[in-house]
Amino acid sequence: MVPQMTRLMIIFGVLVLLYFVVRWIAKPESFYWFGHYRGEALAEAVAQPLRYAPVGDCADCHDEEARQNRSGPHRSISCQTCHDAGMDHVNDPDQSNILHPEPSTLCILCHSANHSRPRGFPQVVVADHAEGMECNDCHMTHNPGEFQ
Amino acid sequence: MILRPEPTIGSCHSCMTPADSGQESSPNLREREKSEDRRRFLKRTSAALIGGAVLATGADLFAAKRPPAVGDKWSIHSWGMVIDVEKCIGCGRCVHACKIENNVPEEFFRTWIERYRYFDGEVVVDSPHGGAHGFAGEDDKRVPDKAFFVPKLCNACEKSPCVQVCPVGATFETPDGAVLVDKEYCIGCRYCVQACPYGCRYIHPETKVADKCTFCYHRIHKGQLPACVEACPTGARMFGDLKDKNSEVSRFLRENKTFVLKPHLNTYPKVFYHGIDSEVR
Repeated sequence: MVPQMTRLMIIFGVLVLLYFVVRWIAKPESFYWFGHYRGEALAEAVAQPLRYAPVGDCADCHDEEARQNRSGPHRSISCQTCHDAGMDHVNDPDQSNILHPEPSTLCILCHSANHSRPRGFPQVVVADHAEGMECNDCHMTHNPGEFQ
Repeated sequence: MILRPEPTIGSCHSCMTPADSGQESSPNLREREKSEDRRRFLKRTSAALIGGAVLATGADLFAAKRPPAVGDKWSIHSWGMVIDVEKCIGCGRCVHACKIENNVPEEFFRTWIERYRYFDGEVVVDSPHGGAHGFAGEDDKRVPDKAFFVPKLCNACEKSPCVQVCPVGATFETPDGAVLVDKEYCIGCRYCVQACPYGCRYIHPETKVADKCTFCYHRIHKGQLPACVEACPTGARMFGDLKDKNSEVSRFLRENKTFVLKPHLNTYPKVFYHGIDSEVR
């Protein structure tokens, strides 16, 4: 073998070695567990804490409200649709860490007249329906089909 | 004495520039031969190098072991969502819930609602604040011929353009069908933001890495529904396991006409729409 060949073989060997060293340093342990990504990222994504409490947790304490809700037209609606995320409240049942929404701003999100809503969905022009009144002046909050 | 290039080396003769013709040719040719030799040599060496690296990676790939505790449980589901546009009332509670659940910053969206209105051939599409505060008022005095709301989110494509362009493997399709971003590994290069045909990604202003809908991966792995599905008052959003024939989504897909967005892109989304129009993309 010619001498310059030996030199090149050595360089080649060093480069291959270098590749493995860099790879060993740079590749996270869980890479290729499932595919071309860090497998541990799955567990990290799952570890994110809940903000919206599990369904059914509300009724554990608020059975009266849950009963009212179940007997009215809003029976299919989750408590947290109106009351927002409830995990803090479940962990620490304080009166102040759950939202008590203003009916005048909340109800119209769904029920103000809008051409884009599906036909047949109950909608009102607020000015014609109850000018200057709060929704819960007449409607029961947890069962709006019933009246006060 | 000046040597003229010999006519026998015809190929070199033809490629010589006028400047070359005046110079001594023999050293020039030797130089050329040498450089050709070197080039051939470099070619072979680099081929061997690349070959070696590929082989080594291949060997490493087969050697990569799965975590013993996890096994195959991640792949027993394939999550998907069905959106029944005919039930959507545009209240924006899904957008609101998503923002709370996932700490989505103001004016960025993992999910949002678009309003489509058709006025005498003209299509008006808008999404004020992503629909987070609802569409309480009608800002147009005209009565549309037809109008509807379309909630949008990550389509969790089976062949995701965003996954294909990521240069570091920081975004990926999980074995159970969600598309996630590895926040620790993302370098914030924005390729995926550009590549997503549905506009579902953004760069988080605080972490400076890509962020997107995860199908609330943390919730579905704790037996809960995604926050948007949980908050939807009309059941317009359905979520479940596409592999389970008895799930709500599977049943809906079996019994109804559904459509995916931009099917011509062959991204194979796992978010299906019922009741949309061709204008919705």
